[in-house]
Amino acid sequence: MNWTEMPDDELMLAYAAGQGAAFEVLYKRHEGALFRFVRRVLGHALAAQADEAFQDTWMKIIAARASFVPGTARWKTWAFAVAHNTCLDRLRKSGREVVLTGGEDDTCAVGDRPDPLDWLQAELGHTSPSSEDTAHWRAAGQQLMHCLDQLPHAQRVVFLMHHEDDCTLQEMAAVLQIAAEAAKSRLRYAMAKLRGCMAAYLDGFQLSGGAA
Amino acid sequence: MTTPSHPQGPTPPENLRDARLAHALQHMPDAHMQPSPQTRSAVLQEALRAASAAINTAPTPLRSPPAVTNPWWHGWLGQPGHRVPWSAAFASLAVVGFITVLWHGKDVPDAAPERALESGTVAQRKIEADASTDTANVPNASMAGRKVAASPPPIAPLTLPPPPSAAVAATTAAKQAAPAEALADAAAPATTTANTAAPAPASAAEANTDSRADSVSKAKSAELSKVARPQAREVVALGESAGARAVASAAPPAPPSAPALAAAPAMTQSYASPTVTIAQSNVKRSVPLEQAQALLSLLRGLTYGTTSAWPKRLESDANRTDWVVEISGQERWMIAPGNVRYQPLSARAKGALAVTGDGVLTSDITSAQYAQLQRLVAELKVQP
Repeated sequence: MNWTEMPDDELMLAYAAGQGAAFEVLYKRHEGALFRFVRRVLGHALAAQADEAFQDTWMKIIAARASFVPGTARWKTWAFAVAHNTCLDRLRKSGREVVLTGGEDDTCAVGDRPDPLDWLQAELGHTSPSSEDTAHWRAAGQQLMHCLDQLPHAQRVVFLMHHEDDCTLQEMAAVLQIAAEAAKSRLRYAMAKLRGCMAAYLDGFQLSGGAA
Repeated sequence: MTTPSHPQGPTPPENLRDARLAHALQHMPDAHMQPSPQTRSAVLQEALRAASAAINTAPTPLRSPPAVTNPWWHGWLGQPGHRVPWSAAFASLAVVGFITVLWHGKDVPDAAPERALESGTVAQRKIEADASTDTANVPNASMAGRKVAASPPPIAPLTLPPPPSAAVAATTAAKQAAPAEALADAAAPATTTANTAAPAPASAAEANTDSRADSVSKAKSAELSKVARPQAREVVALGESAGARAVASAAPPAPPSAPALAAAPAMTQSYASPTVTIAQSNVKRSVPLEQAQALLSLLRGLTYGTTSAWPKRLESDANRTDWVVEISGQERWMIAPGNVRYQPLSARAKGALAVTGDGVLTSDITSAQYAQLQRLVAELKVQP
């Protein structure tokens, strides 16, 4: 049986039926993304606990293999939700303030609407780094890590799930057990803050990329 | 998906992705970090262990509760507290089987009075029944006028010398105010003596005892007469012993009184065990009861004194004892120069003489009596 071609949901069902090989494929497929998500949600302060949180996340996935029901959400979204809860527990134990609700104002203008040109530029390859842009984006990535650390936890999670896991607003609202509007509001706030935090790098890219 | 299907189309309003931020994410320092190999191996091992556990167990138990197993006998006997009637059925069969095993190969006893059951074994009762039938055919003119319904046998057997403890037993019984039944048993030999030509005279006490026992024992006369008959027939047949001859020459026997019948059990026991064991100098031999009647008559004719504890020296001090004459399981005499000790062994004989435990009765004898006993024993020795 070719496990590598099977979707995540079927692999999880096969593993729940006792197929250990299915889990190995599933693990290798999502190991990096899930580890990055855990590490970024925990932030720089709790980066040392990333391994433990990552292991705890997979242990919970293993223990809950029988309770996974495909259809309600993609397996990756479900796994990210498990990872989010694991990280949330560690953040609470560490004493860091975790504000999951509030702080968002739907009426508050985020300021700049998503710029269609930004998206168009990225899709057309205008964001592809040139030889001199590689160092620029490395610096941008480093700055983004600092900017994420400054984001509130709730906004950081929705931003990461939206950009790392490609979760829709509805999926995020479902797994985080919040309203879709709240998820959307958190995401807007997160992007506004990140754009402000990353303005120097993003503006320079726009200039260098000749976009807009 | 929130991702536009066409990159050049209008951006959906819910699309909040920023290509630049996404690009920056891909260049974050941790973009290519992986968990440690230890973490990876731990996760995979735990996953494989859980998978193997799922294989070992039934595939379905993940969603179905485990079945509760009950012992197999619960299906037969029911749950505790909810026993089905099978329990009672099995218990009944077990009891029946147990009783069947106990009585396997044994004769089921017939219905019989309690007194008859005490007197001996089943074989004895059969012999008694036969003897009773035979005795009923013995012609006896004096039997016609008897009051006893079950035509008593000739009291010839009663011509046996009275038990040696007759007088003593009667006196003891009177003193102890024993129940009427015991008095009747005790007085029986005395009454028999009075009715026969036996040398022992009937005393006033014996007469009183006789009268009292007569009124008490009528109800048991029928049963006891059955027991007395075989002994009577046996003793009549002997005819050769001196005691028997003396009895035969006596006057016609008196009507069988209750006391006389009460003496029958001891004789019945003699009939059931017709051997006499004579031990001398640790040498034992047995002779038929018929051959020892003379000796037994003489021994029973002695007057025994008060009871005493059974001396253990009887077995240990063999030097003091010349002979030990024993009717197995019933009576025993220890003959020594100067005295004879008598020990009733059967419960009935003990009850008649008011002897408890291993008590014995002692009778002093003269040298002439000792010589006579010695001669009788010597005669038994030469008997074929």
